[in-house]
Amino acid sequence: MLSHSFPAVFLPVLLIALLPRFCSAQENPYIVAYDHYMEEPGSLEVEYFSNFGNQRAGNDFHAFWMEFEYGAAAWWTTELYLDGQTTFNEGTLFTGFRFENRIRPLKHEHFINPVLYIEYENTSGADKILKEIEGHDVEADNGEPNSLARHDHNHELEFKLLLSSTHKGWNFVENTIATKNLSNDPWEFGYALGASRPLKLKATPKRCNWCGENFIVGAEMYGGLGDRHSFGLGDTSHYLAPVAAWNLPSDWTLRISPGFGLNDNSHRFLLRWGLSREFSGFGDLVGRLFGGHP
Amino acid sequence: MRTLNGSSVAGVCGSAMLLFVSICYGQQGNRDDAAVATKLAKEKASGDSELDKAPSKARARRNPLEHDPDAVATGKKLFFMHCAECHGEAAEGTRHAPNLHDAEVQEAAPGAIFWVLTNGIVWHGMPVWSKLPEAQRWQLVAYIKSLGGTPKGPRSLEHSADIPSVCVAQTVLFTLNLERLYVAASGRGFNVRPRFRGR
Repeated sequence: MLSHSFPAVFLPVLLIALLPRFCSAQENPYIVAYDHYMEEPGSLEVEYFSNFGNQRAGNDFHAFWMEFEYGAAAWWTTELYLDGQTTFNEGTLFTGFRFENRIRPLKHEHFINPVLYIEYENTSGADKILKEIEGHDVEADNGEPNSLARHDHNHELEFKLLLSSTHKGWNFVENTIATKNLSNDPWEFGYALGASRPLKLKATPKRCNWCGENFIVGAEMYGGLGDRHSFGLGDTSHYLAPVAAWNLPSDWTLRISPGFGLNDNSHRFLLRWGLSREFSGFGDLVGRLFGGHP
Repeated sequence: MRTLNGSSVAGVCGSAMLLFVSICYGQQGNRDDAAVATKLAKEKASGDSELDKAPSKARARRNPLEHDPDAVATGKKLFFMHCAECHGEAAEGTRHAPNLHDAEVQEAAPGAIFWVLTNGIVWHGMPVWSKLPEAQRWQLVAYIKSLGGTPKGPRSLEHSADIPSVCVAQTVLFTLNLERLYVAASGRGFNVRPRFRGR
């Protein structure tokens, strides 16, 4: 019932309404891969993402998630995800939450910049956001009806090593994923790769929507690498997805990414898109709301 | 029909609390300004400020856009988009970040400012700005160097809050308010099993 989802729905709306300041960020276009850039300290980025999936031997689905990304420090970003999905002809479910932290261990920029990532997931088997592909994740896993899949519960710890380089306007990322379901399942592995570049490197003096520097385009590729007992590409799925981000001067960022399955185990087509807005001064605002000092 | 059990609700709230604690942590870092100011003053006196740490090769770089007539105007636009929140709209400095009119900044080599923009001062709260293309960072440098010195000083760095106790109190208040909001919305407490209905 709608009223039961009140905290999840109302709190973000309340926060957005209360936040007085915003700032324009140069957001990367990736939806699955991560680069090494942290959220600015004290800023909250509220993001909505959607993943439409084409499903053979089952109903197509539309999975969606909200992200609340906060810059706790210039070297530490923390994030809460709330996931849900609609499987056509079946129903709409809340499928769980994720809590992630990204930590930058090095003080200065280097040719390759590492970031450590740790995430706890508490999701049901019906979760279909496909934020990362790992182990032997294949299309058939998502064909199970919601009525059955919702009874599976995943408590997972996920670790990633994010490597990222920026050179002459290009950004290159490589993410290595290791996931442990907190049951007796073995460690599972995956990867994500990406490259992107703004259409124009030099900014123009006027505020404009359609300037080349507002658009960042690229591609990402992601997939599973099996598990501890069967490491490799056998029975894994892989995707290649062009990505594009449009950083609007009105402080919104739009992202879109059509993804194409690269083998028979993959969904033939995934369409992802997202909308985000960054609010600076969120930490100060919370301090003021709860009696802290301005 | 999908049910969301109490442990999931508790998990979401727990995560929200952790998020909140991280906000407190971030605030603590931001508010430890007196210590940061003292450290910066010491660094300045010893010639060991972040600008001085720029390698000589980086410091020797010239701004390739110094003769570009649009560089300052564009840098100003970029400054408002990315920097003004912390440094102030007139770059006068705030309790989060220093006054860019300071002689230390204005007398610094453009290459040194570019180096600080690129690398950030991560442990003191300044993010890395290498995500902006090099040309845009040089446009920012052109604007910063055009500011010149002014008598305006940064806002007061003083604060009197006992941060750890404020954080604990804020976290408790946040949790209580979260529950109140939930009770107000659903007419029940957390001990019921909220349901998310399928279609």
